[in-house]
Amino acid sequence: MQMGMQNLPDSPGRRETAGPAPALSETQPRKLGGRNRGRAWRRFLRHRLAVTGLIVIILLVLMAVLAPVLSPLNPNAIDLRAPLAAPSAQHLLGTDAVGRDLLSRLIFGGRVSLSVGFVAVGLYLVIGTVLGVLAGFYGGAVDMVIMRVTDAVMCFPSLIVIIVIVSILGPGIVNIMLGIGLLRWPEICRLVRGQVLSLRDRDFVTAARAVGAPETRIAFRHVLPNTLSPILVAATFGVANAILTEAGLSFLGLGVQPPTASWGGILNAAQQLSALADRPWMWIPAGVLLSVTVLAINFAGDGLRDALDPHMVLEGG
Amino acid sequence: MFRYIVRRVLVSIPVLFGITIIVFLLINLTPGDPVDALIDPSEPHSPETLQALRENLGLNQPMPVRYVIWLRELAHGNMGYSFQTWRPVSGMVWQAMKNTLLLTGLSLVLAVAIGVVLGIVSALRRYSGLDYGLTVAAFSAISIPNFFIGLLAIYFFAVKLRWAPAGGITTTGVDRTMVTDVLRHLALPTLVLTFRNVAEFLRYTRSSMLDVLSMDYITVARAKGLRERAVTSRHAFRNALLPVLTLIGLRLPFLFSGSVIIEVVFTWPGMGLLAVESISKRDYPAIMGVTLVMALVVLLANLITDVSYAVADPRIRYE
Repeated sequence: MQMGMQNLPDSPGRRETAGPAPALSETQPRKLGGRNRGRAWRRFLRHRLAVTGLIVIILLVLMAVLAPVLSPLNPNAIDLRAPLAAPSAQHLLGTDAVGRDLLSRLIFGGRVSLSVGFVAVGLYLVIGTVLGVLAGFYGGAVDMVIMRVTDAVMCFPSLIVIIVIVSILGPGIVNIMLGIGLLRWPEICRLVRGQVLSLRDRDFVTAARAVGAPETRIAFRHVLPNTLSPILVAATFGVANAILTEAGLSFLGLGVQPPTASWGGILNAAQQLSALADRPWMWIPAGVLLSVTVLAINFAGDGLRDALDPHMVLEGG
Repeated sequence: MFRYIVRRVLVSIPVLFGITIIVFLLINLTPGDPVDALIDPSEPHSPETLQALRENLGLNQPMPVRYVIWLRELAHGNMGYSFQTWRPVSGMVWQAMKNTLLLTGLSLVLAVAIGVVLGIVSALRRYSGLDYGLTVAAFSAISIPNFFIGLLAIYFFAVKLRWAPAGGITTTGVDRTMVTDVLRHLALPTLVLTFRNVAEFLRYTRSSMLDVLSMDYITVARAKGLRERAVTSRHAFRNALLPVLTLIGLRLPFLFSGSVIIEVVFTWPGMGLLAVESISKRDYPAIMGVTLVMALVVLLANLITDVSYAVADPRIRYE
């Protein structure tokens, strides 16, 4: 399989973990000479959708951090006199089945989505990077074993296995992060391995070896930093996917449990036909916010991919 | 060529065992006793009865022994019996797979047809308002959670407009063989699943078409005076389609496991619904069966994809 994937650098990936389809790269003027961070940053800023995405992400992070200040009421306060209330001056988006203020829960829900996105991806970045560097740099039997394990893990539909893992460990935010982290690293592992393989015999590695640097140091201090751009792009799309996975699990009732507010958990109410049909204000705002978040991250990721395009770096270097 | 295929098949064998070990460990490390899920908790049960039940199910054997027994039975096509229905798991998975394939297959065919057409239009009118609109629409389709699209579809098309039923595969009381009834139930889940796939095929066709349009032979075709229509339809389109075929190959796993949450939203009795229900009922044999079949199908699809690449591109064989 890896041969197939390497033949298709532009492929949108596999299964439901796939990032968005091919880049918008040709919407950007191809300018040579971009090598340093400033050039990449300027290219990113020319990508209008990506900049919009970045601004939205910053706003969402601010909303999550400032949730206690922004939300009008305590998101977990139960008001049994006003369950399932329609939007009013007191509850701008109404209340849920036990009378919790939905606007406040919506604001706090961003914390769950964003923290699952960043922590889960951080987790599998570490796993995938370490295994990928080991496989690519040392080769031989190490490579063989790591790649066969990668193949086996990649065969599983990750959502199903994450559901099984979460049901084994018990539902909750930490176990969702663990589940995603344990299932989604193969993509990063292959990416890093491919990069390391292409860098392993370059002159700067030989130079490092000539001055007597230990192999592990060469692998992690000299080779790894040069693989960062594609990892960063894959990680950005990974955050979007992790957020979707968490929302899906919480929507199924297998994810973050009440009273903790999460967007997927708010959408779970729509599994009841009465809420779905008669109280759209209960679930539509959470779905819209979720969609906007994922869209913003995907746009930013697309801009990042254009800005860090390795071909431009090589041509200019 | 032959040696490459043999090597590729050999590489799959440890992966195959890896898959079975992962499935087995995953299910057997689950805390909680499946026997608890079988008995009626309101009635008293003596420890002896429970122990007898456990022995009956083979749960008292050590784990490696159970793994070997399970593997041996698996080789004979026996995936055990569901703890919930006492029907053979293979039959349940087979039935669910047919339902899933009906849904995902229809959706994939529609998505390819629509996505390829829109992708070509988008490429031919690059940087136009239409192209920009389709790009944003495609990114939205990829970003909006499909269960949210599903809920919106139920809200508008099933509840408000009453165009199609909100869930299930047949109307209760209607004969299962009524094709029109099943088609009506297929409408909404297919629509939702198609949405995302259209976006992927659109983006892919567009970039593939743009690649081809920048080739020298397209310039030659134009230079020798062919009409633009002939250039795009005869020279560009055909070559742009090859990478799209590859994408179809990469999407094969979707056919089996791409509709999990949508099946739950629309209570479509496929593999995804079977998996989620089995997990919530701790029906170990069923969970193992579904997960295993889904993983094996992916393994097989990858094998076929790699071999067909090798047939198409001789450079791969000598790597």
